[in-house]
Formats: sequence, C-alpha cells, structure tokens
Amino acid sequence: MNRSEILSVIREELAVAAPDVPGDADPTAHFGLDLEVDSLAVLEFVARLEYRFGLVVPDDAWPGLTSIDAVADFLETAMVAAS
Amino acid sequence: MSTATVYSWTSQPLDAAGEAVASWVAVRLGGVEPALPAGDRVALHVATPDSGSREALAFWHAAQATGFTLAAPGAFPWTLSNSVTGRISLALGVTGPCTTWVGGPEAATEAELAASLDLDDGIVDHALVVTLAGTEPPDAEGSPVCVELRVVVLTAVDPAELAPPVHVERG
Amino acid sequence: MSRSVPVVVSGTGAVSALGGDVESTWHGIVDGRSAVRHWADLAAEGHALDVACRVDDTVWGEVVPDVRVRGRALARRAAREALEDAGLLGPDGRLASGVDPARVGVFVGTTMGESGVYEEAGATGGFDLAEGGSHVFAASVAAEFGIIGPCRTLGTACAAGNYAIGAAARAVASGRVDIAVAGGVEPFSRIAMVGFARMRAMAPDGCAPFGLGRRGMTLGEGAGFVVLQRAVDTWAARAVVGGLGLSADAHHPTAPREDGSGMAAAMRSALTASDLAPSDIGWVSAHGTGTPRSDAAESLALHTVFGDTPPPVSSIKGALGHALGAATALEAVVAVRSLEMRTLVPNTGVTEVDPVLDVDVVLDARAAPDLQWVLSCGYAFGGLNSALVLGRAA
Repeated sequence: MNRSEILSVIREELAVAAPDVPGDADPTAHFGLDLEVDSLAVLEFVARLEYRFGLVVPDDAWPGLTSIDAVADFLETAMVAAS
Repeated sequence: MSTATVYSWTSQPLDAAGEAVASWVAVRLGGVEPALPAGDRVALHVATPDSGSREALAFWHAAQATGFTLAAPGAFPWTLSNSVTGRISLALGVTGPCTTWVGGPEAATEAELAASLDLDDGIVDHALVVTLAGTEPPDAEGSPVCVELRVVVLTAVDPAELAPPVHVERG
Repeated sequence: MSRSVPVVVSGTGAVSALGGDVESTWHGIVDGRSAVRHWADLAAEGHALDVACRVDDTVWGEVVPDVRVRGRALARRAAREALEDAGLLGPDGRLASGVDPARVGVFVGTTMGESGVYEEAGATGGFDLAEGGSHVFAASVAAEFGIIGPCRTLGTACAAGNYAIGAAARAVASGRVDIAVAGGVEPFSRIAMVGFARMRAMAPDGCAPFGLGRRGMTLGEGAGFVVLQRAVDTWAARAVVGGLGLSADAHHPTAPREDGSGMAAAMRSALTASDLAPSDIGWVSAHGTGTPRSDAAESLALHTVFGDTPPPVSSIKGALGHALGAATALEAVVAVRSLEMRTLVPNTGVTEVDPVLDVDVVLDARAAPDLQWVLSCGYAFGGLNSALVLGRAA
C-alpha cells in the first residue's frame, strides 16, 4: 500500500469518526487545535485505523499522532516494519 | 409549590450503537421554545429502564467481532445509563444536580418526587424530569429502537401565582 | 440538602478486591496493600490489558457465583454485613421482628448493571433486561431481607454510591422510611475492561492516583453498603451523615472540566448543605482514579475550595481499583472506619506524588486524633460531580 492509498484510508476513517472535518482538510493541521476534533473522536479514528491496518498503536507513539500526515507517517513506518 | 409544563416525543428507529439516542434527545430538548431553563439553579432528573443497555449490547457485539484489542472505543461512553443525562446537561447548560434513576415506573415516580424535593428545599428554582425508554425491549445485538421521550419542567412559584399545567405534544 | 434531622450510619458492609468484609478491606488498605494484579483469564480472553482488581474466589467459599448473578451476590453479601452490623437482622437472616419491612428502603448505585448478563447475551442468544438491568441489585437486596419499602436505583456511574447514600439519607430524614440500606454495586465488567482499555484510560501496571507519571485507572469491582437511620432511632451510630453536594460540568461526555470548577462546585455545595467551613474538613477521600487529567482537575478543585493548603488527601483506588458504581460506596465505608479509628488511610500505589498537583497525599497510614469531618468525592462520566460529608459520631 503506497502513501496515497494510506492517506485515502485515513481520510475515509476520519470522515466516519469526525464527520465535521472537511474531506480536503490540510494534512498538517492539528486534529484538536486546528480541526477541532474531539478527543473521543480521535480515539475512535485511531482505533478504526488500527482495525483496518491490523496493528495496535503503542502508547509511546500515541502523542505524536496529531495530524493526518503524522498518522500517515506512522502507518507507513509500521507497515514497512511488519513486511 | 411549582408549575409544570410537559413535552413529549417519539422517535423513528435510532441506531443504538453509540450516541445516536443521546444526540436525538439532546436535539429535541435543545429545540424546545422557549428554551428550557439552564444553569446551576436547575436540577435534572432522568428516569429510564434501559438507557445505555442497547448501546452496551451493541458495543460488546462489535468488540467480539473485531477482537478486544481492536475494538472501537467511541461507542463505549454511551453504554452507561448516565451518559444521556450528561449529554442533556451539556446540550442545555444545566450545571445543577443531575441524577439518573434506573428502573420502571418507580424510577419515573422517584425522579418526580426528587425534583419536587429539590424545589421545596430551595436547592434549585427549576427541575427537569426526563423519562426515556425504548418502545421495545433490548435484544442481544442492541438493534435499532424507537424511543419515547417526555420532559416535565417544574418551576418553583409563589402559590399566589399558580397557573394550570400546560401540555404540549410534539410528534 | 440541609438537614435538620440528624441521620447516622448504623452499619457498614463491604466486599472488595482486598476481602469479603469491612475488616479485611479496611486492614488491607491501612496496611498499604494493593489488589492490583495480572489475570491470566483476561489475557487468554484477548483483552488488551490484563491488569485489574477483582474479588477473590475464596471469598465465596465452595460456590462461586455465576457471572450472570455476580453483582447480585456481591450486593446481598455486603448488605447482609451492614444490616447485621446495625443489629437489624433476626436469627433467620431476614429483618428482625419489630422492624416494619414497609418502613425500610433500599437505594443502590451502579454503572454497568449485571454486566455478565450482557456479556453472555450473544452466547445464549437472548437478552433479558429483567436479569441484566441496573435495577436488579436493589431488587435482590430487598427480596433477600424481606424489605418492601421504596427500592431505587441510581445509574450515576462512578458517583453512584454517593448519590444512593444521599437519596437514602433524604428519605430517612424526611420520615419516608425509618431505615435505609444504601450502597453501590459493580461486578467485574468485561465490557468496561474493553471500553476503558481502548479509550487508553488504563494504566498498564496499576493505577497511581496523584502520582508522578501516572498513566490511568485500574478496573475494580465490589459492593459497599451503609445502613442509615435517624440518630434518635439507634444506639449504633458509627458516623454522622452530612450533606451531599451535586453539580454537573456540562462540558464533555467523558473529560472533566480541566479547571475542576464543576468538582469544586459539588464540594462547596456539600459543605454548605452540612453547615461546614472548608477548614472543618480533616481529610478528603478523593476520586483519584490515576488518570492524568482527572487527578489534575481534582487537585485544582481542592485548591479552589480549600485554598493554598487543602486537607490531606487519599484515594483508595490504588488499593481496590476503580470499582465504578461501587467506588464511592466503598469509599464511604472506609471513611466511616477512618472516623472511628481516627486514621487516614494511605493513597496506595504511589511512591512519588506529582509535585505539580501540590496536594498533601497520604502515603502511609496517618493518625488523625482530631478528625471530625471527611469529604468523600466521586466524579462520573458525563460530568456529574458528587461530594458527601461524613462526620464522627458523638
């Protein structure tokens, strides 16, 4: 899965967990501070990605998942590590 | 002594997984005009036999399907019967005493009694008594449900200013 | 609620992860023991975390209750101890002759209800609210002892025990009942185990309330009960019931107001209802779940109410876990014993207190010969806040 495909899945799940976020939201925008995504919605969003990608985000990686790009970076790295 | 205004609604089938029921309740109550009283001089008493039950069943059903380590957490808070009470307080801005009574008719009776006592004791000036129940019992999967919602708004008054109760029905 | 009719605690009962009665629970906490441990069955079932506090099977003797009736068993056991303690049971184990069963009420708080019934619903192919709903605990206690007065259930989650005790005290003071059995019940909930773990709210190695580097809560279970009577009706007063303060944050479904203002409002309301000043409180039994934000908000609330030097603070959740609907009931039972023994229990699970919080956390059991009034706090999902005042019996 390339980065474009990863981003597509990310936006898909973000749309479910946080429907108010525009589909073309800035990938560098902070979920909470810029996109006003509620903390519970972030938890749901990441959990849905965990299920989609079959992995669990470790606690030490969690604080860094602050934007679409940051999540994509994590998933790319995790998928490379798993392959 | 208090005046009473009553509102009631019945929903279309609502997805029991997550906050759908709580959101529907919040929208109904938030849309009442004139606006329902808010602030710390308002008590909220919610009586329900089953709030959170369908949500719990749906959450558990989904968690078993995904596996516990990959369960989606967003629906979990709504498995608590108390969550709809918190959602109402948030929607209306009620910061006074908020209570969830669970059970059948006795819970509704107790909620009205407790609200009246709150007014009589001078703890609050208004009390909202909300009853909330599904039209069908919960099933093992927590299937969608129609919900009956009723709110009685009690307002403390000087006995000399009492007026007859007003009933307003909404579909 | 300001109360002109004094109400007292005439009996206490408890089942916790540290023991099957008040004495074992009390001594376990005072000795600084913790029931936090890893559970092989939870790991085998596929839970993300296997750390919890659970009532040991040895408590039950030969017959361990089925998961579908575990909460009812916890409720009956703790209520029995409380009623026996109050001297209100006869030789047949039911209400003593001379006690009018219609003048006795039951008020029980819980969060998840009989969770095992929900968890087994898929396997059994059906769900019966009459068996799993939150009301079953109060009904079970009433049936066990032949109580036919008001039987009520409070679903106010992590604050439910306080709510139940407050409602019961109101019923006793008003003369609606002569005796109230009030408490909180929460059987171990696998639903809650999954939910809190996936909300990243649980500490991997056990909770550390107010601790530096605290990482979250630990799920517990149990039941706590008190028997309430008008002071004039009993010789058996263990403690005095003060006022219950309630407030709501109206802020967020799960997160508390970061400034603790809602919590502070509940504490102030409790003090006002009890005709007490902040300086009258000798110890705060904190909500103290060990979650970073909640403990921080609670610390701010304590400073808001009590100023620069709040009273000593302990959370028993490091010892018993977070028993959800039973938590504040267990905390009330422990608070009663603290008043009787003039002892502040330790805040188990912490070696280094977070200095940012700036509160006097009791790390070892502490003598408190002048202890007169205790404030016991519980804050629930949905932003519902409670604070209950308990006082030394005359």
